This record gives sequence, structure tokens and C-alpha cells, in this order.
Amino acid sequence: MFKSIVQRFKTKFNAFIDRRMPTTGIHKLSHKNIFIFPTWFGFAFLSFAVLLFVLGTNYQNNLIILVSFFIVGLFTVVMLHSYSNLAGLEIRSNGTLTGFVAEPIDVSIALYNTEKRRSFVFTLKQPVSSKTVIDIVADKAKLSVTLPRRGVFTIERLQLLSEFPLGIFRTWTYLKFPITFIVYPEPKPCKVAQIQHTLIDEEGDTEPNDKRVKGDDFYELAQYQLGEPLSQVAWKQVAKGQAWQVKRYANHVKPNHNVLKLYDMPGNNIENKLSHLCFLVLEYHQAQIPFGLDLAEQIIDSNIGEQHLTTCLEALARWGSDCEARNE
Amino acid sequence: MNKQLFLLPKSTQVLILTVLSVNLLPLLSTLSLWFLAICAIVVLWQWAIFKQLVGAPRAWMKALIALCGCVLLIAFGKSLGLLAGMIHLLCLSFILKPLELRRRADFYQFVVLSFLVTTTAFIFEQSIYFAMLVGAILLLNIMLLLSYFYRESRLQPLATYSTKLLLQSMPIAIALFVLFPKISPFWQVPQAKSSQTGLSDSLTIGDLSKLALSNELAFRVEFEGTTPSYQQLYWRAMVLEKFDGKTWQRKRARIDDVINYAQVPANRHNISTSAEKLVRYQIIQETSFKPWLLVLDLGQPDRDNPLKDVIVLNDYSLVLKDGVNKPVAYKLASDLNARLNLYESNVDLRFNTSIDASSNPRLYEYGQTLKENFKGQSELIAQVLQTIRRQNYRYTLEPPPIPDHSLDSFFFDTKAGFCEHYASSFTYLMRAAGIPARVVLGYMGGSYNSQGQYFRVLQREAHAWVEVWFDQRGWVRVDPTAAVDPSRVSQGFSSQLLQEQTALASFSFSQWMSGQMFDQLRYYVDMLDYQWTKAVINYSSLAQFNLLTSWFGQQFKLMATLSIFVTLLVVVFLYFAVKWLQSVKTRESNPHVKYYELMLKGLAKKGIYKTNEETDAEFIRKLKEIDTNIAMHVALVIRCFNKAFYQHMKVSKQDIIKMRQAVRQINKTP
Repeated sequence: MFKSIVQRFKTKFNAFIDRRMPTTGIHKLSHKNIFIFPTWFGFAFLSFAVLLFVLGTNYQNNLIILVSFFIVGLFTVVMLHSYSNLAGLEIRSNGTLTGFVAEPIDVSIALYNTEKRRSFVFTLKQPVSSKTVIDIVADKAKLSVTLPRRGVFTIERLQLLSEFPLGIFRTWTYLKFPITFIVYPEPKPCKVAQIQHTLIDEEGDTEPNDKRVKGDDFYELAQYQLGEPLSQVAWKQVAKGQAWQVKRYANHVKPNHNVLKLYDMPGNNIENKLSHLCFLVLEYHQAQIPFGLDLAEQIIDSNIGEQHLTTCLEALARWGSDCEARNE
Repeated sequence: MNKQLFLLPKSTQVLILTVLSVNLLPLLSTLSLWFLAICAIVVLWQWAIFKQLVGAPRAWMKALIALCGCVLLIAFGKSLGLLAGMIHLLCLSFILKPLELRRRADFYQFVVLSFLVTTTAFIFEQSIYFAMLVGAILLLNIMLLLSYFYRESRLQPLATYSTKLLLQSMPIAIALFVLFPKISPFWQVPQAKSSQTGLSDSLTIGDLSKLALSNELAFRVEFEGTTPSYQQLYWRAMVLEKFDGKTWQRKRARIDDVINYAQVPANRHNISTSAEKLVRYQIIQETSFKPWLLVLDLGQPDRDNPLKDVIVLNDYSLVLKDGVNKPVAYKLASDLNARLNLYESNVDLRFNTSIDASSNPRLYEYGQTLKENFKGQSELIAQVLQTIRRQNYRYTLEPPPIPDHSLDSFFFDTKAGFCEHYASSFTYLMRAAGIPARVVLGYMGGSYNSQGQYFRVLQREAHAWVEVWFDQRGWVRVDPTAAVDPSRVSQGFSSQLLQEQTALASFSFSQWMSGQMFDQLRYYVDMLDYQWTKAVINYSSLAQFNLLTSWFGQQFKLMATLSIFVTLLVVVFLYFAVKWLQSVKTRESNPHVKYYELMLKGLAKKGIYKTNEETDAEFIRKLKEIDTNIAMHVALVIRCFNKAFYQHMKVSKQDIIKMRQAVRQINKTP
């Protein structure tokens, strides 16, 4: 009951924030987007003034009363200073940022109108909170974001917070920038040699006249068991004097030269497969070997170079998101 | 959450050490010596920790120090009194707190403690110099708090910013101080223990000559209209009627008894003189920790400006119920010619003739002889004064020692003494002769400050004189001092007396200041302090009422509350108004910026953003792919903007109109 009220309030509040401070690349801070509220210390400070007032009144001591009024005055003045610390500040940031899962991605933020000495902190609660302190003299800020999942994300609202000058007031703002994160899968090493071997092996072995095999993709070599059709026995291995093995086939598109197939990857989990694939993509790129990608939904032709690498990694990052979108 | 080490910036650490050593300065006279020694050790220790000469304190060390302090406090607690004891405890927690700064909350607690310690010093002293010192320390405290958030290691910018904050909050503080209603105390609080200065409640020979060495201020007087002549400035404090052979005391020892039995009902103490003959004056009395106020005979509280809790006694002295525990201001009106015969009864008068004949037998015998020889009371008194005047009596601050404070040996043998010797012996003599007499203690004279037009009366002007009862005229003042040293009651201390005083008194700053060179300066400084005491320390609900009435007329009550809010609102409003005007001004003078921003906003609503890396041309090209119409308008705005912004050309009216239309078109396009 209570939770649902909180939830509803949160939704309403977020909607209000979205309306009031729409996403833009340039945010100029003013009374329209600055929030201000006393900290708990601020309230304590104010009650301290009340305490002094009581003390001064009991002693009929005008000077103690004056000090208590001075604290009230300080409270008011600090409110204005606290506000003007952020007001007028211009913050710009936008673009598309890429990185791997669980690796910090740097968001660079440009600050303008910092000539007044200011002190503040940027915080982003997405999904793991990250924090950075802004150097007051510098006009650039760097924010490190670590994302735990593969995919394409827009940035959450960035919180900019300041308790300057006396910690009595907290001024803050929520800013949304047109920033997109493309998070690649975490590269997980796998036995390149094994996969390469099977690939090459399969290519050399599969005869074009073998009707049974045609159209089916070679999947793996397995231990021969009694009763299995002899046509599937890997005679080459037998001839070499190795143990009897059978070729297993899966219903896949036939691979091109050096085309890395998602479903060829080891592992029983699609995320793991993507991680392995990611690793291979990087390896191939490193070794300057042309490669293509077969992601079932999407096929990228064999190519080489930075541009190709980016395309491939982005495809890995986006994999499945269209599917989900279609399901929804 | 992993526990992170709470680290304060270096400037904050330095300021903590400074605050630790400076904050206790105003409380120096209140704190005991052993406590100051502990403070010094703890501060030095913390300094050593900061300089990394010794390691961080262990828990048991901190506990030991705290325990030692508490044990000492309990041991000395009784002698300290409640208030001083609490102050000690507060200061102890204040100096130990920096050893325990583990979280941000600890730092905050320390700052609040620091503010509190500084402010409590005002309980004990309130002079303007003291207030300046406390103000400077408060500034230091603000610096301390600021340093945590400022991330600035140099002290100078910190000091500048703190001063700015202090000065900006002063107007609000002063407005509140003037306008906020004065409230009477909520509950009883322990008062500061008296550090004996000024007149004591009894008079033994030697008391006043000791007090005469003090150049401290006792009170100040400002007369309205005519100023009485110097000889009339007999400031009555209290009346002493009981004599035990050595010491003159009050008839009733306890002040509560005095108030209960000697109080004159409020409806009776009206002087029946016409208002023109009255001398009106305001006294601002320094803290004396005694209930006695000062008044010229025959005086009463000014009917137009009554001070609460002033009690008129039937011996014509005034008493403040709770004692003068801080400087007080009160207005009085006196009729200098009125007769002091309002309240006396025969029983009271009989008390004023009772003496112990055996305590000073020679003086008693002399009194008896006088009684036989003179029928008329006034002739008798004249004869005694004549004796004092003619014989070689001396008025001096350093009389030869008198064994056992005997009045006999003073009057007949040594014949040298201060006012208390004469007043005491004279009263005894009168009583021996059967004339009701009593000793009055107070001050005589005062020095005029022509800059501030007020009198200063110092402790050294403490005086004792005699009152003798005449059946028709009531109590008549007789000052035997006038017989031995007429200049004392017409001009004040003679040069010979001042020389004696300088020789006897130990060095004091005010003494040194009183040299010719500083006379002018001293007058100004004293005037400043006088105004401070009058206007700030004694700003009472009555003063507030008078001030507000003079501002707003009689309906001020509503006005006062309103004006508080209005002042605050105006302050806040003005700030934002100025900010807003500034922004409007820049917008008005830079319409191209305004329309450029409006355009970006309009595009943002459509989900189109211009990134920093993109050049204008690229941006427009991108837009063309989306909507050629929009791209066209945007290109127009950008062109106009660039012309004004980068080439510093004046924006023409047509350009502005074009920009406005373009922005409107962009917003219209879906």
C-alpha cells in the first residue's frame, strides 16, 4: 500500500522532472532546474540558534541573543550563496560512448562559467553508482561509469550536488544529456585453436557430393556409439588409427571462409557465447585476419579494419535487443 | 560499505588547532588554572599529532584524559559553582572532541560546540572590546566550517569569503535584534559567581582605602537637562546601621529580609515635588553582583521609564531584585532638596542610637561630655566638625596602622585616615551623644566626559558619609570628610591623594592609559563603550517599545511582526530580482543568444541535438536528411547568430525579426 504510493509519487516526480528539464546537450543552471534544501546539519544549526536564543533570553543577555540572530542571518545568507554556487553554470555533454561490460566508461563533461569558485560533485545512479569530484578550477569533469550488462543504454539523469559553502544547504540538480552507451559483451577467452581446428577440419572433410551433410552444418565430433549410421563415421580419423568418432551436424547456414558463428561458440548460455565471440572478434582483429560474423539474425560480411571491428562489436552489443523489442 | 578513513583537508586541520587555542581566550577569567593547564597540554598534544611527532592517540589514552578531567571537575565542582562547572564541562568536551573526528557528523558537532563555547563567554562579560574579540573568534569558526567545503588550502581567500558571509548576515541579525520581541526568561538559570568588586555589604576600617586603589569603572551617569554641582553628587548605595565595635553592617543581613521588611509600597514612593524641580538622569551601572543601585537623595525610579524589579527601601536606597549581574541601565528622578523624613518610626530611631560603650570607651566618654555641654544638636555637630578641621587631622590613603581597628586610637592618637575612619568615628560619636546617626555607603563625585556628555564614576570614588536625624528635618547628611579635606567633596581626589594612589596601586593598563597623551583617546574609547552598553547591552523591551513607537506610532505591534517578515522577504526578493534583471538585461542586449537558445530548445523537443563536435554545416546537413524545411530555418538562425556572436556585429532589426519567425516556424513543424 505504502510502497505503491511511493512508487506513484516517484513516477509523478520523474514525469515532472522530465517535463521541466528535458534532455539536451547544454544545461544552464538557474532557478528553473536547481533544487535546494537544508541538510540535517542545516536543521541542527538552526536549532542551535534557537538554543542560543533560549540561553540568551534566560540570562537576559542581549549579546547571546544577537549571536543567535546572527546564526539565523548566516543561515539565510548561506542559502543564497549555496544557490549562486550552482546558478549560471553551464554543462555540456553528449555523444555515443562505447566500452565493455564491467569496465569503466569515461563520460567527459564540459563546464562553462566556472570563473566563480565552486565546489560540487557529480553523481550518477546508473546502475552502479559512480561518483566524481569536480576540481573547482578545471572546466572539465570526467565521470566513470561501469555498466554490468551488455546492451545499448541511454544515460540516466545525472545528479550534480553541492553543499558549498557551509554544508548547511544542499543544492542539486538532475540533468539528462543525450548520451548513449553501447556496452560490448565482456570478452571471455575460449580455445581458439579448437574452434579453428574444427572449422578447418569440417571444410576439408565435407565433400560436395555428400548429400546427407549438405545443407547441414557440421557441429562436433562425438564418440561413436553402436547403432549410429556408418555414413556419419569420421573415417578420416579412423584411418589415422584414432578412436571411432561420428560427425554430428546441426541445422545451420553453411559458413563462409572465417565466418564466426554465434552458435558455434562453446557454452550453454547465450551471453557466454556472445562473450566468447567478442573475444574471438578482438583476437582476429588483433591478428589482422579478415573475419565475418554470423549472428543468426544478422550476418556481417567478412572484412577487416577498425570500422569493421566497431560494427561487429556493436552488433554483439545490440544482439537480441531487436528480438526483445519485437516480443514486447 | 567499507569504512573509509575520514580525512579533513589540511587547512581545516590547521584551523581546528587555531580554534582550539583561541576559543578559550574569552573564558580565561572564568576557567580555573588547573583546567587551563589541561587545555594547554591537550592542545600541544594535538599539535604534535598534526605535525606527526607522535602517533594517533589510542582509545585508552583518550579515555584516561577524559576521565582525569571529569574527576578533577567533580573534585572542584563545589567550589566552582553550577554555572562555571557546566562551562568547564563544555570546554572539556570541546578540547577533546578533535581527538574523535571519525565521521563528518563529528566534525559538525565540533563546530557547533566551538560556536557554543565562544558564545557562552558573553555571560561573563559584555564590553565592546570583548564583543569584538568574540566576533573575531566567531569569524574564525566560520572559516573552520567553510574550509571543509571550500577545497582551498590558503587561508586568505577563506578569510575573505568568511568575512563576506559575516558582513552579509549582520543586517539580518541587526534587523531581528531590533524588531524581534524581547521575551522574559523562560526559567531560572544559575548565575555567574561574584568576583568581588566594588562596595561590599559592610564597612570595616580599611575597606574603602583598598577599594580606592581601583580605577575600574563603577557606573556612568547621563543627566537630562541641568547637572547638579559636584558637591551634590552623593550616590547612595546602602545604609549601615548596626555596629559591633569593629564593623558597620546592615540592620538586616539577608537581602530577602531587606526586601521583605524595608520595602516601600509602590504607591507611596512618589515625591510630591513639581516635575520642574526634579533632576532626571540615567545610570548605567557595571556588573557588581550586588543588588544595590545608585541614587541621589531623594530619588525614585522615573515614572515614565520604570525598570522592572527595582525596589525602593525605606532607607531611601534602591535595590534590584536579582542583583546587578550584567550592566544595567535605569532612569531615576531626584529631588535634591527633599527632606528624608518619610518613613521613620521611633523604634527605628532608637536602633540608631544603640552602641556598645565598651568597644571604644574614650570616644563614648567624649560623646557623653559633648551631650552635656551642648543643648542644640546642630551646635554639637558643628563643634565636632570644627575639632576635625582645626586639629591636625589628615586625609590619607595610607594611614598608620591602628591596632584592632579601634576608633579610639584613630580619633585621639593617629588622627590620619580615609573617609571610612571619619564616617565611622563620627557616627559612633553622635550615637554616644544620643543623636540617631547612621553610615551611608556609596560613591561621591565623578569625572565628566565632555565628548559623550556623561559622568564616569570609578571604584576609587567609593565613599562613606554620615546621616544624622533631626526631628524636624529628618535625616541630614553630614560628611566629616568635607571637614578634613574639602577638595575631596568639591573636585574629587587631590593631587596628593592621587600620588598616594598611584604609588600604592599595582600597575594597571587603565592607569597607564590615563597619562596625558592618551587622555583624548581614552575619552573617545570610553564613550564608544558607553554607547555600546546603553544601546546594545541594555536594549530592553522598553527600549524596543520606545524605538518602535517612534518609528511606527502606537499601532506598532502589528507593524513589528509585519516588518520582520517584510524585511526578510525584501532581502530574498531583492536578491532574485537583481539576478533576474541581470539575466533579462543580457538577453535584451543579446537577442541573438536568446533566439539561438530558443531554437536549440525547440529542436531538443523534437529529439534533435547539436553535439559539440559537429560543425554548423554538418549539423545542417544532418537536418536536411530529416526535414529540409527545418534545416532551412535553422541555417538562417545559425547564420544570424554567428554574424553577431563571432564577428561582433550589431544585430539588425530585420535579422531579429527573421530569427524570431524562423524559431516560430521550427516550433510549428511537427
